[in-house]
Amino acid sequence: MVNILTIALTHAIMLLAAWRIMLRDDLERDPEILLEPVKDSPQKPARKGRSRVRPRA
Amino acid sequence: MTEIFLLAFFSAILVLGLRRPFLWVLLYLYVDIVSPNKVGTQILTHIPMSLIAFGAVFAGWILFDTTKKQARFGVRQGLMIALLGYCLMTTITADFADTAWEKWAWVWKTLIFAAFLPMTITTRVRLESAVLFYILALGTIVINGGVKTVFGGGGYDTLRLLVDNNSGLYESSTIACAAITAIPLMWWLASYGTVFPRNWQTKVFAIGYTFAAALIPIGTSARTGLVCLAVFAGLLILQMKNRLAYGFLLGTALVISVPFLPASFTERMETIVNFQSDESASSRVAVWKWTVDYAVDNPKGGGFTAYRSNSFSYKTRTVNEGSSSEVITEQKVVDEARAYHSSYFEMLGEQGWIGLGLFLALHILGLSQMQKVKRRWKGKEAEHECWVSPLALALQQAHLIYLVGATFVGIAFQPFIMIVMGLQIALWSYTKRLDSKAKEGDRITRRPARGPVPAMP
Repeated sequence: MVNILTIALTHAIMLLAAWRIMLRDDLERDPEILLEPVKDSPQKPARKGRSRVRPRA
Repeated sequence: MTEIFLLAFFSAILVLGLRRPFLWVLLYLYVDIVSPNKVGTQILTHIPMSLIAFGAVFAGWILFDTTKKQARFGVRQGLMIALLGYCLMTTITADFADTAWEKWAWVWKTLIFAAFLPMTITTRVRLESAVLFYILALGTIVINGGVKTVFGGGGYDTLRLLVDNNSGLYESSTIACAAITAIPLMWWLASYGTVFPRNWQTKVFAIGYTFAAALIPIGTSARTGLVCLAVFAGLLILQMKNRLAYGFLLGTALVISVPFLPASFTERMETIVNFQSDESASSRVAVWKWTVDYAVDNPKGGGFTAYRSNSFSYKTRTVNEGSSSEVITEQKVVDEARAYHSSYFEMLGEQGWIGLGLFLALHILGLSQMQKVKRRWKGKEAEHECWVSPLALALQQAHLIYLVGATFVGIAFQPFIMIVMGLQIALWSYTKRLDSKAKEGDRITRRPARGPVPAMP
């Protein structure tokens, strides 16, 4: 009985997890915030667009 | 019925993998840990689940994985392949060819998969999913053992886990060590996971999992498990700000819990201190001495299961306290073909000094890489990077628990630790990739802008 219950519990969670993982787009590619080149900042979180090249006037 | 359910689960993940081939990697993790073939007695024993999942993982990666350009092959993967090659050499020249090839049959798959796993983990979700499946698959055995311990089924080599098979993760000391290594990773998932919401249900599951894992050393009466639990408690206290107070609280909780522990457990744990009276503990010391002598004579190692040639005698010493005097009884015990009962001596005896060196390098480098990641990403607060340092810490803690537990059990090639190392390598190469992006960003900002020079006024 314990065997059946524990197998059912963990396998149901794994199946649900697999379903949720399958629906995630970021499974194949990290969101842009991680992929774009950002300047390193040891304490503060990196901000989007921080490293943009600013053309000289 | 159980077999049909397990087969249905296996088939369902295989089918879902057609849409996302990475799910096959998770399926292999599951098969490697739970060994559903061992759970079954009729249908499952005839289906090569491990082979099917292994084939699906490689075919899926080669044919369908669009992220393989991001895959890196690092130093530790190189060490794993070198160790694999060395093991092959010692297996060919093994002292006991039949049993050596039997062990080789699963060791090569474990090492290949551990080296390959990081190449498939190229995104945060993939890394988290691999940790999640590792924890849940292990949970199938851990929760089962925990519940059975609560209901009174316990004792060394008597706690019947999912199967009646005393091999792999279903062996008492091995599961006791593996269960404790899972605790830090379980809490990382509960705190930083994104597959499941971080709500009260997840926290309740994490608490239940932790209790079940902590009960495994009690249920199995495995001394290694108790040592692992003590190491984990020590590591936990080290991370706390108020170490003295929490240390005192943990100590008090331990003292209070002793009367509630089963007698079989406390009796066995007493042998940690009175090891001279215990055959199992005394034979370990004797077999370790034999292994060092063997390695001096056979520096290249004797191949898998080389311990079978050992034969030695040792004395056990029992002190019986009478009313007025102590009676010391010495007994001579003759033993042969005694297993190493230590991963370090297992490596030394089977793979010689070179194999032991590769093994140690693999582990020491892992600890050092996790330390670097932990420090480098410490204090990050943004959602997309706050999880990195805690994962490095959890993987390092799991690794340290294993390294202490491995002193007393021969689990050098156990899939669970190879998977943990695969996850470490994946995290290391993932952070390297983020770092190179950061450097790239830095270079762009420093580079003088090209374009027409503005005219002088």
